[in-house]
Formats: sequence, structure tokens, C-alpha cells
Amino acid sequence: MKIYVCVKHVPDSAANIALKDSKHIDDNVTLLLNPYDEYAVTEAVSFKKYLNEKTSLCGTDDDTEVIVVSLGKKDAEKTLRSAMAMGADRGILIETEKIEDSITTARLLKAAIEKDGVPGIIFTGRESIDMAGMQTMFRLGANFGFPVANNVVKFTPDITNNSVEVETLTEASGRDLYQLSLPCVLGAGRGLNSPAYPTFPDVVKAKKKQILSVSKNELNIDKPQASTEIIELKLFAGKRTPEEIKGDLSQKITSLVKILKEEAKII
Amino acid sequence: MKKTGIIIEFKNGAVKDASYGMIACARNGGGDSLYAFVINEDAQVHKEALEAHGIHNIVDICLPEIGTCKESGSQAGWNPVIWSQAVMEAMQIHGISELFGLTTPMGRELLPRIAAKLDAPLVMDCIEVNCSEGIVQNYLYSGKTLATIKVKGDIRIYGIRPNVIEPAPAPVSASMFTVTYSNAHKNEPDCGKITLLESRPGDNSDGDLLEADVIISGGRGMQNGENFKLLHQCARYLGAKVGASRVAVDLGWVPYSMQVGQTGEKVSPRVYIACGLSGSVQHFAGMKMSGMIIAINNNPNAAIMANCDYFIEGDLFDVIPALTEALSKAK
Ligand SMILES: Cc1cc2nc3c(=O)[nH]c(=O)nc-3n(C[C@H](O)[C@H](O)[C@H](O)COP(=O)(O)OP(=O)(O)OC[C@H]3O[C@@H](n4cnc5c(N)ncnc54)[C@H](O)[C@@H]3O)c2cc1C
Repeated sequence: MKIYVCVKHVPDSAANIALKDSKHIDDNVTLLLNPYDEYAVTEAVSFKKYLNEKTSLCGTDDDTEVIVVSLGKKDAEKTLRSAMAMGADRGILIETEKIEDSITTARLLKAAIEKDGVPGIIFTGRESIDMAGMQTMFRLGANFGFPVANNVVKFTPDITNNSVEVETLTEASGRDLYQLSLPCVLGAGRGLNSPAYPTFPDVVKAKKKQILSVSKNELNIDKPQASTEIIELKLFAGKRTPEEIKGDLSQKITSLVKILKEEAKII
Repeated sequence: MKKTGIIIEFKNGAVKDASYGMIACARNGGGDSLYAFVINEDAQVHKEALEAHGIHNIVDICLPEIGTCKESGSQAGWNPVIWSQAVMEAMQIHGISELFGLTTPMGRELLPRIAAKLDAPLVMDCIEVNCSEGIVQNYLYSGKTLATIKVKGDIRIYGIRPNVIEPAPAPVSASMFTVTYSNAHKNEPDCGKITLLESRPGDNSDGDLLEADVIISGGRGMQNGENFKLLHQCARYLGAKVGASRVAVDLGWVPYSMQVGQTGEKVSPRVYIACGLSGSVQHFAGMKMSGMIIAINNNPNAAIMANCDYFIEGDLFDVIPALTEALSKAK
């Protein structure tokens, strides 16, 4: 089975963001594998192990592989390497200089996957921490005609029935349980598993794994009519001027209650 | 005439305040004709309330196969796959070209499913929408930038961040419609390939940070899960919900649904009280849009102390119980 994982190269969550121009950030920051995608890669790799164990029992040959796919600049290779250090077998980089919206991204991901093979299942993270569009997995599923579940926190394959059971996280720690037929698209949420940091030998091994580069043009997708486009980007510091509430404990509390009552008007 | 559909959310049998804010948002630069989509609720009961906020048409979306069992609190008969299809059907029947929903757990399921099916553009977590121009604002890069986004398409879909847009009553009178969605549609491509087996509602006592007016959060400084009781006691008097930093979640003190931040909930309460948390970049990503931030920390050099509206330098184990006591007396 071919297990695809869509991953994104995003600015480090702790990075300071600066602007290059009125629409783009200065990408001279540390970029790395989107945190939610770590759960996706980890789950894909353990699913592969599970499938291999099953097939070795049945005696069929094993051609199960985990392929990570990323859309981004050349630099996104680093994120593919990180995913391969976590156990993915090879990578596909769809090279583009532009920031693509979710509609185009999902089309390009589909085209690249289709060009490579027939997906048995596709994992993504539940959202990317840079654009937080929360929709690419749904579009990818719709483009393929596959069912989709997002924010998956539990994954139970049922290979004999060619389906999977998942739990998704809902409001206030609630859970929805779904059965999806394979192939399907699953957006990994926090709690699905505990990603392990790759060891040094894993990192070295990942350097030798194959990355296939395709250009956006090669994939030759239909240009969508609909789009979302960033027309302006401004830094949002949210800078505040702190004022200390002083005095002994009872004075502090009196002042605090006064602020909550008179200024914030919440009590 | 442009027709706008709005997916209304309910809580304990009433329209959520955040839904009223969303209606106000939909009226901005458009709103010729607003259609409230009421799914699996008794639409008649909410007619007056919706009319008071400028809704011209109320579409009662019925799902007979699911039934309208009224469980208290949660959305009766919740099934995102069927609900999103029913909304698309209502959109088609009424010629809706613009759809609004909240960026809540419900909206995060329905809006992208609909957008994907219709191949329509969608922006989630909008804090402002100009309908006539198709221009929205939201925070990108973990709340570090404010983006203006142009949305192009025959049908446009907007997810609105709860609590940032104030409700603005504007009374009109509304017509009632009913759309009955039945399983006859089951042979559409996706149906049957995904089946909801069970929906286990969460515990409302720890959730709902997204729409809270006041949040009091604890971090590593709380020392253990037991001590979060102090925050819950104080929260009762403040009408607040209790949140947490990731450290408090990772250490198993409180559930993940309470985490505020980049990889937790992104909240916009009127007041955010941060207790024993340092104010990491990732935590700020989830709460920097709060109206007022108050920090309680024993370390004057903690990052939160340099980027809040008020701070108390002190031990939270002194400050919080004293605050709770003062509030209890004030009542
Ligand atoms: C990819 C990624 C995503 C992340 N996402 C999130 C996220 O969504 N949300 C999040 O919160 N973090 C997130 N983090 C973690 C973040 O980097 C910090 O580690 C975390 O926010 C720190 O939690 P804290 O403030 O509770 O702990 P600390 O930084 O240890 O701060 C504890 C604070 O409590 C104070 N304190 C201690 N005792 C007392 C006392 N008795 N009275 C008063 N004050 C006291 C201390 O002075 C200190 O300032 C993320 C990290 C990464 C790498």
C-alpha cells in the first residue's frame, strides 16, 4: 500500500516574524516541519509497520511505503528530510515560489500523488500553524472523491473490511467516532501519538533517501476560478503598556477588583 | 440581489451570542437578504430573536432520518457529513452565494466540507469581512501578522472567529422556510464511505474557551492539577472559564481542551487573567487578541509581565485565594 503524508515547511513557532514587503514575510527565519504533521508522519510510519506485520503473517510480499509530499520552495526539502528521519521512505517536493492558496495546493498535491502512484491512504496535519486554513485535507479528499476526517486523535485500521475507524476531537474533549472506507484522507490532531525525536543514525539515513522534485508547471493542473489571495500583510505585535498593581496584598486585591468592576466591567 | 446564508449555532436552547456577532458581520457591506440556517432546532422558537438581529429569512433545516431528539446542551443529531450536505441543499434551493459560519468545532467541520464540495473559496477565523468587496481580515503566522485577504469565487465562504464582532441588533421581520433533507441523497459520492458511528459529547465544564468572556489560565506555576481548583473557584465569581498553558496540559494536570495557544485554542475574551505562566510566544499566539490581559506572576522578568495591561508581582497562592474571597464578599 502507498501511504502518502502531506507535510508543510512552516516558520518555527517561536520565530520572530519580520516582513519582506507588504505581502510576504521575510523567510530568513527557521522553518521546520509543521507540528501537527509530526503526528501524521508518526501515524503513517506505524501504520506501515502494522501492515508489514500483517502481510508477513499472510506471506504476501511487502511493497508498503510511506511517501511524504510537500509543496513549497526548494528549502522545504529540509522538512521532507525531517519526515524521512522520522521513518518516511521517500519524498516528493512540488516546487513553487509563490504562496499557493488551499484550492491550488490541494489540486497540486492531488496531481503529484496521482503521478506517483495509487494512494491507499493519505495523512495530513489538522492545520498548518502559519496559514491555519483548516481546509486542505477536505479539498484533497473532495478532489480524489475520498472521505475525510480531521483532527483525528485515534486511528484503528480494519484491513479485512478495507476500512478504518477513527476518533476525532470535538468541543470540550468530546469525541466523534467514524468509520471510513479506504482510501481516505485523515488530518492528524494532537494526541494521536507521541512523535519521537529522530536519532542521529535516523538523520544520516534520511540524507540518503530519495526526494523527487516536480515543478508546479509540470503538474499542469486546471487553473481554478476561485481563489483566496493575501493582498496585505502587517505585523501584529499586540504590544501593551503594562501597569503594575502595587501595595500590600489587600491593597492589590482592592485595586484589582476595582479594575475588573470599573474598567473591564465584568463583575 | 445577493443572498447570504448564516449557519446559526445554539447553546442550551438559545442562539449563541457569537452567532449574533456573526450576523452583524454579515451585514457589513452587504446583507441584502440574510438567511439564517437553523439545523435540527425548533426554528419558530428562535424567530423573534433572529428577527431582532436583522435576519430576513429563517430556513428550518430538518433531518427527519436523524430525528430531532433534544439532548440538553449539545447539538441534537450532530452529523457533520449529513449536516454539510443539508446546508448545501438549502443554499441551492435559495440561491445563496455567500455563506457564514463560526470558527468553532462545528464550523471547522461544516465549512471546509462545504467549501471542498463546491470548490468555493473559504477563509477561516476572520475577524472582519467586507462582503461587497470580498475582502476579509485574519491573523496569520500564529497571530504574529494581520492579513487582508481577497476572496474570489461565485460562492464565497467565511468562518468567523467567535467573540470578536459585537452583536448589533437591527429589527426586521422574517419569513419562514423549511428544507427537509432526506437520505435519498445517500448515493452521492462521499455518502456511505464515511459513517458517524457515535458522538460522545464533551464536558462543558472544562470547555468552551472559544466563546468565553473572561478566562483565567494557569501554567507551570500551579504546581499540580489539584491546585487548578483555586482557579475554578475564582472563575465562578468572575463568570470565567479556566484555561491553561501547554506545560500544564503536557504534565497531565488538565485536559488538552483547556490549552490556550498556538497549538491549542485561540481565544478573544474581554479579560484574560494569566496565573503562573510565563507568556511564551506560543501561548501569546492564542491570547494576544484578548481585550485586557492581567498577569499574576512571582517573577517580574517573565515575558508576560512586559506585555500585559496590568500585573501583580506575587505568589499566585496568596493572590488567587484573596481575590476569590474579595469577589465572594462583593456579591
Ligand atoms: C510547536 C510548539 C507549540 C506550542 N504550543 C503551545 C501552546 O499552544 N500553548 C502554550 O501555552 N504553550 C505552547 N508551547 C510551549 C511553550 O513554548 C512554553 O513551553 C509554555 O507555554 C510554557 O508554559 P508555562 O508558561 O506554564 O511555563 P513556564 O514558562 O515554566 O512559566 C511558569 C511561570 O510561572 C511562574 N510561577 C511559578 N510559580 C509561581 C507562583 N507560585 N506564583 C506566581 N507565579 C509563579 C514563573 O515565574 C514562570 O513565569 C508550544 C511549544 C512548541 C515548541
